[in-house]
Amino acid sequence: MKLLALDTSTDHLSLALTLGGAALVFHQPVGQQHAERTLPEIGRLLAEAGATLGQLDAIVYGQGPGSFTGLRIACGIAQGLAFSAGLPLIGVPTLDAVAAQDDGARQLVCLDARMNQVFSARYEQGQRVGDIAVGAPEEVDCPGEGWTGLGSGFAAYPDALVTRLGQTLIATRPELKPHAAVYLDLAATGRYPPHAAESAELLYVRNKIALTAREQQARRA
Amino acid sequence: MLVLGIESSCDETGVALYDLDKGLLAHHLHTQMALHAEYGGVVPELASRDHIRRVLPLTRACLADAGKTLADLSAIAFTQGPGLGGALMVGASFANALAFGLGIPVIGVHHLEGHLLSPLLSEPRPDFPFVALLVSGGHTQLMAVRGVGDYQILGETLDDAAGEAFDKTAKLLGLDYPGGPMLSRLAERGTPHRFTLPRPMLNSPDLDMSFSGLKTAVLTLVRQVEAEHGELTEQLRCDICHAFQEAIVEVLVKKSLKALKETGMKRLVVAGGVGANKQLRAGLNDAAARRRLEVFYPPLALCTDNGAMIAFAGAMRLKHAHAAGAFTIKPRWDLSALPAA
Repeated sequence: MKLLALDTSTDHLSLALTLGGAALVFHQPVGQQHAERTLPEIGRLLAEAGATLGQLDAIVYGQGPGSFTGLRIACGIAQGLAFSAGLPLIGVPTLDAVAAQDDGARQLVCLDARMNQVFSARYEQGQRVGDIAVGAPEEVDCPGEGWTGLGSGFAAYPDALVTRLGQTLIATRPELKPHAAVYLDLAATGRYPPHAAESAELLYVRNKIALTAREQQARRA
Repeated sequence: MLVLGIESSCDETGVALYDLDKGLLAHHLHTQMALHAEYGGVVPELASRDHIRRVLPLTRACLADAGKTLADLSAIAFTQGPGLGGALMVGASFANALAFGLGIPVIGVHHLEGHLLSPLLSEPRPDFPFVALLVSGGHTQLMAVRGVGDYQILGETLDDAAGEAFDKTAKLLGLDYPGGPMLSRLAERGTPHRFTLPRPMLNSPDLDMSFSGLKTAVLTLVRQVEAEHGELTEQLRCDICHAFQEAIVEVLVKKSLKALKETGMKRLVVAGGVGANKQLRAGLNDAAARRRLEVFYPPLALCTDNGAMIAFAGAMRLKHAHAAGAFTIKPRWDLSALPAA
């Protein structure tokens, strides 16, 4: 498959392009400069490959969870590019793209969700078990043993995750983050169905954002 | 030359197509008013989440309406600021990527310039120069406009915007968010001169305004009325609304006339959401007729935030268009810092 993948949900800008063979990759920390960097770097990858958007089969975007604004930058850019060239989109959850970087039998992925919370999910034999959750790191449940802990949550909350889970973890890899080259691999499995550009749905997971007027009133009372 | 305009600075997603020869070809708007109503105000994160669901379908709808395809576009204009950062980022990301993919240039438009120029989408079109009264939920400013990009701020509110004062006072009177328009409807049933509220800074020597004190005055009045009458009846509430609206309108009319007098200009252009207020329009029209001044308004449908004004402002600034690629947003952006077109 010919695919472009992009993720702007972390402090990295992660891009990868394949025309069927080896992928061209841009994966670097850019701080808050995703808006400045993404399109020019995509342009460079396309030029390096001698490709145009119109030759692609689809554009893959990091669906979340992650930085809310970051998710929308990737999604908005993916939508704009896809619409311009009449391409479908493929959304891949960020946690899936972290889990796929480890080849152990069991992975517990925890990404820092700020506000003393993590986005978490468990994977066994390369498949996600259950839904992606958001909550306090102290509440992350990990039954049995033989798990490898992946993602920024293990760096942000070492006491609540590494110390507390203790023997259930055989190793931790807190440095792993979503990587566009992994999105390409996952999209190529066919497990993530392509959809029309306007049907993009982001996975925010944290869906309680503000108190309603009624709740504010109840809190004051 | 066909320009696509995309607006996403607050709680309205607007997309439009403006043709330099044929004028406005299509515009579509999605307002999030219902989404934010249960929160009693705009929740920025929810606004951004809605923008990204709406912007592409609205773009498709505009193209279909106008019978145009993406290949017909000459440039894409997007609201670069000021506004909510996350919300601006949605429109900017989509607009810049679409332009990048199509190989056409982009123009970052100042949201207030969009409002300022929106009366030029009406017939008859005002000629330059004119005084602009920009009055909405986020802004209340008087400006001398001598051409596209030539804006001088003459005066502005020192605290709440006029529209904000409407909404906050409405909340205080127990009206649902956003209560401004409802307050105006109730005011129509109010008894004139039943109550009088202060006109802050009405006679100040400058063109600045202040509206935050009016809320407090309304609150004091409500307490007085409740003490006197036992409760705030529907009629009393209408009477208070009338007094409130009358106070705001008088300040806006008087300051606008003063701005015209000081600049020696003969045309007043009103833009922004409060520009749809009937009482304000009546007050301005009345005052203008007596002094042989002309007043211009945007089409009623374009008083709120919309994509048409962004497409139009972009079309006026085509020579500032640049190749799509790196982009930024400007949540805070001084209008007088804009270059001339």
